[in-house]
Amino acid sequence: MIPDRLRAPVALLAVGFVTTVLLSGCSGQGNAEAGNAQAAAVSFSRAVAGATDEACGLLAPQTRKELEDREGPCASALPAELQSTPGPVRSTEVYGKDAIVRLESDTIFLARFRDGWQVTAAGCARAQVGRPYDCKVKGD
Amino acid sequence: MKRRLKENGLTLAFSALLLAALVGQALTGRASYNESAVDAGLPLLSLAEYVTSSQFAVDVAENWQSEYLQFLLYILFTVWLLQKGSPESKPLDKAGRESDEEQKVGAHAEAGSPGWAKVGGWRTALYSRSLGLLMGLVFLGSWSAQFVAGRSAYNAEQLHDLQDPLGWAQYLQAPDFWNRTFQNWQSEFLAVGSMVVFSIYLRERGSPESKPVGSPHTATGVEG
Repeated sequence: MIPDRLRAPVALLAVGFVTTVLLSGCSGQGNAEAGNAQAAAVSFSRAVAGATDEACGLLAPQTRKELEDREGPCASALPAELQSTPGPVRSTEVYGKDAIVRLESDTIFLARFRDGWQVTAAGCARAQVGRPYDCKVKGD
Repeated sequence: MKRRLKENGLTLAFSALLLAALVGQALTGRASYNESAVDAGLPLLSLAEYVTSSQFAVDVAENWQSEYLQFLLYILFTVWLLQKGSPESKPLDKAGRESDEEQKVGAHAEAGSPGWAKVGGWRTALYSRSLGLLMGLVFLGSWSAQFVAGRSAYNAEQLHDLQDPLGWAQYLQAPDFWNRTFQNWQSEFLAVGSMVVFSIYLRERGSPESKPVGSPHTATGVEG
């Protein structure tokens, strides 16, 4: 059992930890990062039709590699795979370094790398509730 | 200085162990996370990012809540429940909150008794339950922290798997939350239960958690 003399410091430590976690957990939706993730998703979606190089630059390395292995150079493969009508943003959620941005016409998954938010999957549609999205472009 | 070290040896030893274990958990937890991230082509976490992540927080909080639940239940159960032969139990005729005289409160307080033990009324009533109350509050806080951080960590995994994140109500019903909870609870209950039983028959010379080595197995409520 915990000795008497340990109870106060341990309890204080515990209260401090719990407070920290609750505060960080409540801000864990990452409001600032939600804006950044959303901006990256919108930029990507707009660039798919016109500025393909920019869109390819926003793909996460493994996602781009998978696309190019399967369909050839990104600049030509990406517009063929994805529609270019982003539409308005419906919702954005961020958890740590991962985000999902739901646009009117697409759902995009992103991860925050050292250089900023990059697209890990796009052209995603949910076939069934509780199951993974079917994505036209995604990593392995 | 030397005297102060001696008088606070338990606090210092456990504080050092706690810090060392947390450092070990942080280093190995980050390595484990990054191994998976490399495989999936996802961003790696620095040590600073990992120790402030929901992944680290949920792993810490799920263990802390169960420890404080263990102490809370132990503190409360040992008021009323007894175990013949165990030094963790009170003597068999002492079940319950006991008299004011036995507890040295109010008119029976001694010169050195804490102030709130002497004054009576709500303050003595509150102070008489303060240990259980604090343990209970820390338990609830840690469990809440596990819930908040656990949902965030779980949702990050969901996004790795290209699945929708769960809302608060959904995560409250999710196997992840309850599995983390129950797997910690069962180990705490096992540890306390086995301590109660083992201490009937086994001894640790010099430890206040054990009966004196020569005490009979039937002696209850005797500390070494």
